[in-house]
Amino acid sequence: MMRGYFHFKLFLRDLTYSHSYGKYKYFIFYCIVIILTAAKTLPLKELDGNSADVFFLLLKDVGYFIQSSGYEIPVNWIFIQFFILFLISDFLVHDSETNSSYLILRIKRREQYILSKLIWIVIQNILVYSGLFIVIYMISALLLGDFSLEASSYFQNTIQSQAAILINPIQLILHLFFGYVLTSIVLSGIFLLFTQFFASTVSFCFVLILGSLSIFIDWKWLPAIHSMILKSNLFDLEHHLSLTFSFVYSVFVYILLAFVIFSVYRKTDILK
Amino acid sequence: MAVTDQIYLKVEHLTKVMKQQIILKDINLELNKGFIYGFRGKNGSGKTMLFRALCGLILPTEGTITVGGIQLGKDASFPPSVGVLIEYPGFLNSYTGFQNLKMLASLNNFIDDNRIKETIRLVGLDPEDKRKYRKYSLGMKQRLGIAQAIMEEPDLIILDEPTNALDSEGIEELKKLLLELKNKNKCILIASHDKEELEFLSDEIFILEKGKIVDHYHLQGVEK
Repeated sequence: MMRGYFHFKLFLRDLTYSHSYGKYKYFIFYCIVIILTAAKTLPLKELDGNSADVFFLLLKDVGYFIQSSGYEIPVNWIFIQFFILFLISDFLVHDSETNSSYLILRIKRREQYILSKLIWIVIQNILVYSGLFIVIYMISALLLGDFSLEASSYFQNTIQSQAAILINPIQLILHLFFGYVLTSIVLSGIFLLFTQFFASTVSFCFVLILGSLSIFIDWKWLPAIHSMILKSNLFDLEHHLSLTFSFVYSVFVYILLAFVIFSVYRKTDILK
Repeated sequence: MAVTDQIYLKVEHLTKVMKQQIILKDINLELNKGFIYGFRGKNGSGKTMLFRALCGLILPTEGTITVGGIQLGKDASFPPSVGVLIEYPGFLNSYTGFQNLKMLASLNNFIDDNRIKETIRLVGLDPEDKRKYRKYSLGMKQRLGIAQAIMEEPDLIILDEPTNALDSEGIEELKKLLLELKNKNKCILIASHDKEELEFLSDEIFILEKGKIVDHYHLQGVEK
């Protein structure tokens, strides 16, 4: 049944259009990531670290909220999570406001338009985070002159000592990658749902607040907690936040969101 | 109103209420192919909303819209053959005019590259122009917007303020183009705030006020 709703050419158009439309914003984002990566990498030269350590240092959160005094704000986590959410949201809003009428009248089905966006969210998040991880790896490896992803002495002495179980760098990087991607997909889906009822700026603020709750509230049913590596079961066994749980949770929530968005959009007036 | 045996677009008691506000109120229309219909009214009078309703983009609160025998919302969601210009489409700045139209045309594959180029020429642009859309003047952007509305040769053409940003030469070319399309048996709806232009082009004029058609008059037989 869903097959009739999927318009491959529209999806390809979404991919092409979004990359052309957002290329300067993506360029700025990756430039900032390069600077942040360099800032985390250079001190590691002295500490015998490698790219795996940079992934951890750049993408980690600050762990569970125990007491307000001395609790740091996970600046990098907030920047990466919400800048990418902004890039995704920006295209969704722009396309809806300027192109939806012209596209829908050609494809003749509202459902195809919104399904294409739901699939685009998944693919685009995977692509953007893949780009992010490649940039971090390349910049840090070039600066360190070390392209290996084996456990460095920094990893063994500093990262492994914080971990709750025995971990290896690849496992850590994959956990970070999937955690961020799954979280971003769910937050993008929530944004798309909110835009069916509220203005885009209001919707973005809602999602920003909802995502930020995970900084202060240690509840594994919140959508953004799944990209917080220090709250995962690699570093904390108490809260049982495994990658498997994150995957099942995020897939289930996104399918649920997609179903609601799909149902709402079928009866939505297209006013822009 | 123009009444013939074969009414192409029929609107019966169309009312649209949004956020407890009446946007369109008891609109009735009977429109035929081979005519140009003008819609005039102040900003916020409901012209654009009416056009969106006729395209199926907004769903009526009450009443029915039938296009080519197909009732919107019942038999189909959208008219079978429609081209619209309602505000500027979001053309890509880094693409040429041709590339932008090709991207849109690729969605339904009704037309080939030659037809796209022919349409670009019809609106007074050069299909071989390598300039990117960002380099286009406002008038050129408007012409490209009109081209996307007519390139698939739809039976129903809906143009909201098509003369916006066009210079006098552009307006004259548009008038010629619309009359050619009319002679090809298209049903053309135009909204404009310019009474003179609208009366020059249209066979019948509808005047909207606060979402309601308050007056209409025929111009058939007037020397164009």
